[in-house]
Amino acid sequence: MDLSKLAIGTLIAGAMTATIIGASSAEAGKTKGKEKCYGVVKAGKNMCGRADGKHSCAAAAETDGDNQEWLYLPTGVCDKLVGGSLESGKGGATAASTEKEG
Amino acid sequence: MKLNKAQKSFKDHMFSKVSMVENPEEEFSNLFNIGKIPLDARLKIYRNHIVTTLSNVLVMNFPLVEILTGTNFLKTAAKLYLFDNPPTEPCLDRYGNSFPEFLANYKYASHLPYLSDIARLDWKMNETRIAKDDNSLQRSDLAEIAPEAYETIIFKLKKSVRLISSPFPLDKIYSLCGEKEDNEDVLDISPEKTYILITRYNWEPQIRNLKESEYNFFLLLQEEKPLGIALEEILKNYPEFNFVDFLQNYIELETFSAAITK
Repeated sequence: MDLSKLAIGTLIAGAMTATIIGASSAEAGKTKGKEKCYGVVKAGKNMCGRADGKHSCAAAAETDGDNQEWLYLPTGVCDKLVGGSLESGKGGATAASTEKEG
Repeated sequence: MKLNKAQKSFKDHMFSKVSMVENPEEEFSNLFNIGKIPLDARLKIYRNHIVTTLSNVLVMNFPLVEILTGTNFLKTAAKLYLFDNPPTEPCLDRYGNSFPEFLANYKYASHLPYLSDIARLDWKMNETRIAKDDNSLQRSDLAEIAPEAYETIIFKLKKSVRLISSPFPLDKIYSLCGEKEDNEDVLDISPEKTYILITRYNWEPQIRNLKESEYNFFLLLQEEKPLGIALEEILKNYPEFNFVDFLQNYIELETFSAAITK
């Protein structure tokens, strides 16, 4: 692939702009703090180890909405999500489907 | 005997075969052979302390190897290692740098071809754990950079960030080691190229699988290649490489400490 200087420059500028624009919302969240949110993360997208210790890797979640897997979210967001829980073992995909049915 | 020569002689006696402790060199013996307890008995106490302490240090610095092989296996290997590899600095957290290489050639571990790479993972996680803390580059910091300087940016990785690749599935073996309950599932450890990023979160090392392209891009950044050159190089080999996702993900994960421009 022959990449011209111009193409590289454009790619970098686009990525930088997208990242900087993302700063306003991401860092506004940081000022409010973050909290662990269980039960809402997709498979492979968790941040760290499972609450029950079955693994201790980021990105090792095997199923969507597992209530032992978590990711950091800005404070206050987790409670607004279907299946989201601030405590491990609660919420998750099972709770989400029950809520839907209910 | 001068102090530095006496210290060197003491070290030589400690890290030699036990026969040298039982029959110390004459000059050394003349210097230390005082008191009621025979010199060889006193030297054996020192030697025993050193061997026990250093093998315990290796057990602490290689926890995954300990889980995989058992404490006795590791301590036996450690005792063989330490005589040829005494500490070179007064920081035991950093003792064992060449232990993974030793394990690669350790005949009693020849049936565990992945063990040396697991030891490398242990070592890098240990480095991550004890690395000095530094600032995290934030998205808003990028807004301070003039667009015309973008291609010259050098992204500095945080001091705690480490990279490792292996022909074995280190991530799966690592997960297996972290399981609190006995798992009777058989783990397939047939060669499977793995690329791993190690970062520190709340003072604990965390591992994350990388794509081959991401791993190689990180290596270029680690070499402090300017962004334009690094990106050009990586896109030649991996046209599918997604720099937008890469930048957003790894700034969010606080992987970088600074973006320097020339």
